[in-house]
Amino acid sequence: MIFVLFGVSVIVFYLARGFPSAFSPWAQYITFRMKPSQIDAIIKQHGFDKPLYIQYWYWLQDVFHGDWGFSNWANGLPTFEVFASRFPYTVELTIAATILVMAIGIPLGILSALKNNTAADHAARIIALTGYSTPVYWFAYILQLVFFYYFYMWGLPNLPSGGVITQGLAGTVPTVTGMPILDGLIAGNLRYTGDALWHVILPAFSLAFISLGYLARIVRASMLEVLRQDYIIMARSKGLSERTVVYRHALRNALIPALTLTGLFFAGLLGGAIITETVFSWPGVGSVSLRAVFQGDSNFLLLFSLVTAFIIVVSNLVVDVMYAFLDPRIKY
Amino acid sequence: MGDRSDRKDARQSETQARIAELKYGLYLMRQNPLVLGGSILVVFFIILSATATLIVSPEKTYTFDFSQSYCWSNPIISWGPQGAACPAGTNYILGTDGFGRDLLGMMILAIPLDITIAIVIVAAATAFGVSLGAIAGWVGGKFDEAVLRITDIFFAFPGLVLALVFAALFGRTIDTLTIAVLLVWWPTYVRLTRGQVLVEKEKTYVEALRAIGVSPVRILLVHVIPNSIYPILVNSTLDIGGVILTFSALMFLGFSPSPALPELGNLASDGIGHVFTAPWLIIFPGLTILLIAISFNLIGDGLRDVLDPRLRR
Amino acid sequence: MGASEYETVLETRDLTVNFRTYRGEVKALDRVELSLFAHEVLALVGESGCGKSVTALTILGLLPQNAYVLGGEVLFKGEDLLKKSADEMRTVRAEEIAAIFQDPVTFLNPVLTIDTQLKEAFLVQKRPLSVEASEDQTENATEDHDIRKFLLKKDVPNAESAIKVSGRKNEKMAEELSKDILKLVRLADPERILTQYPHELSGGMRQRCMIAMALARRPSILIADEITTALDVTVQAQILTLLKELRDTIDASTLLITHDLSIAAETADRIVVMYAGNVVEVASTKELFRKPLHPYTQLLMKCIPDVRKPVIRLESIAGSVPDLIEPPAGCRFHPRCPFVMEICHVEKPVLKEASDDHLVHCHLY
Repeated sequence: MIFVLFGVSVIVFYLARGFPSAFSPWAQYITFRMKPSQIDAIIKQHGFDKPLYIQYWYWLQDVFHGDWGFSNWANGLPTFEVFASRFPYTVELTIAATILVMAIGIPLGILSALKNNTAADHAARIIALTGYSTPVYWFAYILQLVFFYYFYMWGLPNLPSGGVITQGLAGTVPTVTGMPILDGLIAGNLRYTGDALWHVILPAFSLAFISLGYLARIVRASMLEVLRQDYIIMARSKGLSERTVVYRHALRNALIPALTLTGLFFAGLLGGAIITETVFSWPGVGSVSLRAVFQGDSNFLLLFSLVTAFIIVVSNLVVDVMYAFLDPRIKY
Repeated sequence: MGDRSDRKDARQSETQARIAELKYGLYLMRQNPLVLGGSILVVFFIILSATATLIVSPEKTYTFDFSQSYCWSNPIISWGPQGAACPAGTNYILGTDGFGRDLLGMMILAIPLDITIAIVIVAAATAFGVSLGAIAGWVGGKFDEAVLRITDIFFAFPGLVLALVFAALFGRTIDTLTIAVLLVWWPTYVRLTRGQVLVEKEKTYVEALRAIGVSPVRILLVHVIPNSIYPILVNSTLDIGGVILTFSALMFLGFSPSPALPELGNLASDGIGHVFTAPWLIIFPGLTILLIAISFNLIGDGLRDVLDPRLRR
Repeated sequence: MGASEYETVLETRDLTVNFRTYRGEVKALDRVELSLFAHEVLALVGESGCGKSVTALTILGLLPQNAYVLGGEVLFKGEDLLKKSADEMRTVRAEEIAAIFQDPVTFLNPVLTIDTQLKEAFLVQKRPLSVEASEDQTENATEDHDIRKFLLKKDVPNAESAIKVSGRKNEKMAEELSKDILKLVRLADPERILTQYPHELSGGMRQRCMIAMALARRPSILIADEITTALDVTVQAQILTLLKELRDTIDASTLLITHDLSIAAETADRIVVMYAGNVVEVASTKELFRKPLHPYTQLLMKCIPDVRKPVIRLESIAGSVPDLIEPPAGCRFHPRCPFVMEICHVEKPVLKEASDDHLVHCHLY
């Protein structure tokens, strides 16, 4: 795992700092008013004129002291602060999306499997398929168009076009976790929580729509496989109702791979949030990372990549543990 | 000589068996209405791509007539007062973009480009990934471990990030963008192939071939890889859709070489600032991407069902 | 009480079942006729693919989707099971006909404990688990004789009507009975076994659990489909002994499906021999071994090596089992029959009585 993180950091470092003509590492530390001599001083101070591996060593040392550098384009704040202040919003979005993925994807998959090869199955499969064939950016905009603009034009209650919370309510609740929904719940402020939920629906759904197709497909395949097993024949031979056979016997076996996959989804959704956050002006880490890329901010990119890589690797481990936990045949 | 004719017989019966399997597979695919629908769509798109330049003449579509920006003249759908009316006498079924170019024409020109690039990327990723994965699985040992670790690193990058960084860095030509997307897609094939080869390696026919004295390279190329090809095929077909999505997403985010490039993501990006006033700019190119991706995914899905050894029969 | 000695509990008439596959229609069962009498053990013997398991599945109503019944009847206590609705069949499976299958590794749910799987067998019955419990509110009955009473008490008068036992009482009874029934099938330490998962038990223990699950439903008919095939020989013997012991305890008939003639010889009262979807001979065990009439049966007997004589070579039957998509015309055994006649190529024989209670499906008789 350390190796993976190391590898990720090396690759990003090389890409972000290795080509000063495209991305100048010192761009984060200068303003355009500085004289060339000042710029040179800054370059020397941060060691940007040294060979790459020495720069990497400096960076490692800095990181161990908690110093992730500065990001000039974000009001010159320390990179870590820029990241940390926005990260909870992304987490909130991702959790909401994961819940939606499970709530829609799993029943869809089960329906598909039980009504195998009927019209319902084909319809469910087309929905699932459309999910992962849809361009995220397009879908996000369509949702905005319909639910924000057209609903408004047609006089229907409309969902907000972006942002985490309505302007007027911002800051009315103490920030505990940084996630509006949770903060609102902790503070017992239902209006705040409701507003936050109202805001998260569209972005979460646009994220979720892409992935629920995958989950539905896997649940379907898994269920079909399980329903062909001998122990299902045995259960049926006991005279149990079809409902019992499906829910008590089949589902528990079929959902094991599906649930473990959800852990991986969570990690993947974090990355996919970039576009969604941009479209919905969601103040999370993803929308900001796009700007960081254009600015060539190696500091931010390194932090971002490492955090997401870490989460992905940890999710993989958690998934393995979950598997052992859910399936009594596996002993760890 | 007895040896060679024996081998020829064996190969003949092997090919016969493969043909029989193929026929069965096609039979199953015909049964599945979704796959049928997908195939029809794909064929439609491919024909469209091939004849694109015949239908739409590029010169006419590229006229920059600034007086016609963002207009809509389709009599059937009305976007309301926002859509500026096109000058009389012109007929733009799907409207125009900011440069006054006919959207439908642009889209038709963009389809071949998108599909070609997607196929190129998938072919390259498959070729490279399969080779690396096969060798890694076959040889094993330290090399295998090294390859595994490297793919682990690539898998730890969430989706677009690597492609974004690469694209931002190395400029905005179609080639660099192709490589950027390639970087994201190749590790899957390495893992897939490696897994398949590992399984095939243990099978008795490999042992038998080795006992006869067939060279390992030959075993790998002629026997093992063709037997492991099914899941890779499925993955490739599904990936074509995914690659189109990723590639157009990159264009959409602003990495296109030039605003005039007829590419579906590029066309869509034009409409970002005008979502509510000129929605057709985002809707239709996106819809086209959706349809292309759906058609390839339908086939891929159907292929997966057909080739899944447990769901057959 | 109950049925008289030769009353037919289950009967199939003219049962014909086909399977739809890619390569064609498999004619799995061809006008199968068999009768199961009360209190007897009937062995259904034949090689793999001859249709024994299909017969069992048809009786149970558990045929896969690509199978369909072309014709015939399955009469159970006078009613045709094939005409029953899915719900009715479920009740039949829950209370009247119980099945034990071959390989408990795949036939027991790996993620559920034995306790769960056993309890649901008890609780699936609509009739209350014990009349006594409702009558005198005893909740402490845990002795062995109670389980025997339980098993024999299946003719609870008006089970659906007057006596209503509360769900909770039923569940308590189920808990007690679970332990008792595991003891009945000779499993030591029932409490521990109940908490375990199937993969934690040995093959023989799993099979006993399956038998317990079948007995829990107090069936009139027990169908045992190759229950010893997946076990090694010593365990096989134990299970067969158990079955013989249970014969007296339970008030049921057993349909024992096996490919092993020796098992049939040891456990069964009567034997039905099947070949390629046809019933070819029916006789009592003694009679069959004394005087096998059908050529197939005779050849089968010859294949069993005699322990008393030195074996020079092992016998086998020439030819192979026919393809059931394109079965041979006329008698399905004729390509391999040493006594084949002209008529065998053309006309199908009829199952008729050759001597006392000894039926044969052959043109020779």
